[in-house]
Amino acid sequence: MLELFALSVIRKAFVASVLVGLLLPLVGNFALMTRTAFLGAGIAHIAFAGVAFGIMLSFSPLLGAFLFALLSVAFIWYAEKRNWITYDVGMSILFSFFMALAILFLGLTKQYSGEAMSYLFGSVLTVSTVDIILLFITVLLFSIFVGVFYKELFHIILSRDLALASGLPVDTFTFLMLLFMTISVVVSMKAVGALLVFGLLVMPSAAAYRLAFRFHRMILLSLVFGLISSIAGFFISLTLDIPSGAAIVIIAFLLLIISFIFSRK
Amino acid sequence: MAEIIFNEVTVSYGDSPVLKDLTFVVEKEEFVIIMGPNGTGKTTLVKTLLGVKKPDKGLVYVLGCPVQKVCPHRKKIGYVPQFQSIDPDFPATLYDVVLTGSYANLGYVKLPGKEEKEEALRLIEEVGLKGMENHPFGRLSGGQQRRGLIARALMGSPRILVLDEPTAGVDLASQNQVRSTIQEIYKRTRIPVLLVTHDINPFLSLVTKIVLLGYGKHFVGGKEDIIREEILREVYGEYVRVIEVAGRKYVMTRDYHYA
Ligand SMILES: Nc1ncnc2c1ncn2[C@@H]1O[C@H](COP(=O)(O)OP(=O)(O)OP(=O)(O)O)[C@@H](O)[C@H]1O
Ligand SMILES: [Mg+2]
Repeated sequence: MLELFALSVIRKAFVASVLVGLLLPLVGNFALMTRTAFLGAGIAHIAFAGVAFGIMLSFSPLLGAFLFALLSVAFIWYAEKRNWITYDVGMSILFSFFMALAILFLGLTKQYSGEAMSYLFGSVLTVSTVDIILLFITVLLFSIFVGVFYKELFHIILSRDLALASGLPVDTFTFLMLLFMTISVVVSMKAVGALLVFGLLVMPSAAAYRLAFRFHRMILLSLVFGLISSIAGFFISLTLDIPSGAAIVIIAFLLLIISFIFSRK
Repeated sequence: MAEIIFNEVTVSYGDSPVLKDLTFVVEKEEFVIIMGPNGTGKTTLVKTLLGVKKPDKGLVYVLGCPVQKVCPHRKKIGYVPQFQSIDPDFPATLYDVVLTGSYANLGYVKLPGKEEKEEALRLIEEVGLKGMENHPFGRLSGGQQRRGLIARALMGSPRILVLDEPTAGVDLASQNQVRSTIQEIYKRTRIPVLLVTHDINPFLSLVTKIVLLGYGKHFVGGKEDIIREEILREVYGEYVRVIEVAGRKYVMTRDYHYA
């Protein structure tokens, strides 16, 4: 199997899997702790509508995905801040509306679109160098963000009230976290698929939550689980010739079950 | 200048004012109780003091600085929030939580050093939780969590201590521990304390001022002015009684079966 690594397409796919396996679980810790994880699922589907939009009008699907996802999240953040809606309700509404749009766009496009399907189900072998560069930059920026502002992020997660009282710009941090979640979901879609992004976002950090008694350990554990899932999933998919997104999420799920069994909580 | 000044402060949510033209000052070494029925704006008063909630009208000065400006003195307020339940599995130890009390003073990027870490351990001991620093915070009892948050509030030697119902929802024995922790801190540090509580009797001997909030009205004064049946009844209704035993006043409710 290792001789396959002579192929650049396999090497790229492997690198993309590893980056996604780090990025989504890292973001997932914050999504889980701020109870915004469901936004991740919504963002992926809204972004998929953007993909369909891009394909329909023959421009970059990735650009369409960014456009739709960022605008929606900015709107939801603002609406929640103004007490118009909660994240859950806002996202539920946009989730289904944008899925309707996605289906509409795909219908209008007429010809069968393999490209749309690769975003929906994930197709790590079609990941381009640009995709990998975007993934890498996102991993780098988010890691720096978490590293530099760990104290502040922990404070907000522990208690919004205490963080506000100590003078932190909580809304700005919340917005930045949502922004990173949005970007992370969009750049990961090609590799694991819009339908499966949520799994890698939530499962490793949920597993880590079962085991860790301190937040920095939870983050480290979630990264370990994410890496195991993505690397093992990648090799299993190569060996058994099954879609890698599915393999990765199934491994992540098994790790979650194991962590429930070994949890001392 | 007084440590805290509220001057004709009006605070609302939407169109309905919660606090209306509230004026009071807190001098050095004062022990102030903020009391009143549910929903009369006690927490709102605290948030306004902290600069989290903006007043529609009026001025709030804390340690000589208007709170709406970016005041370095805001970091000098130790704050214990009203009880919020925390997930028992939340990934933080008591020590982690207490240490967050140093974050405001550290500012961005700088991490707690040896000094802050030792201070956290010393304060954990001071509130009677020695040896529990590595316990998951969410697994502590309600009373222990409250004392942990008091230790957190004392990080960095605040110049004012504000506590929002620290004894609510805590069992009798733990209430006693929380109360005596507050009393000891006040006696040792003599920093002004603002205490929101329904549990006034144990604190009456220390109290120098009371802010009594009612629906659409409020009273501010010393305990001789406020702990009187005719005043309390304006806010709480006719079942309130003030009794005096061995020279000390107690606020009670008259059991209406015997009324
Ligand atoms: N974020 C908010 N948005 C809208 N209304 C609010 C908000 N927070 C508080 N209120 C309203 O303001 C009023 C005062 O609330 P506040 O929490 O200050 O009361 P309180 O005296 O602390 O009550 P309690 O004894 O229950 O703690 C209440 O009527 C409440 O419904
Ligand atoms: Mg309150």
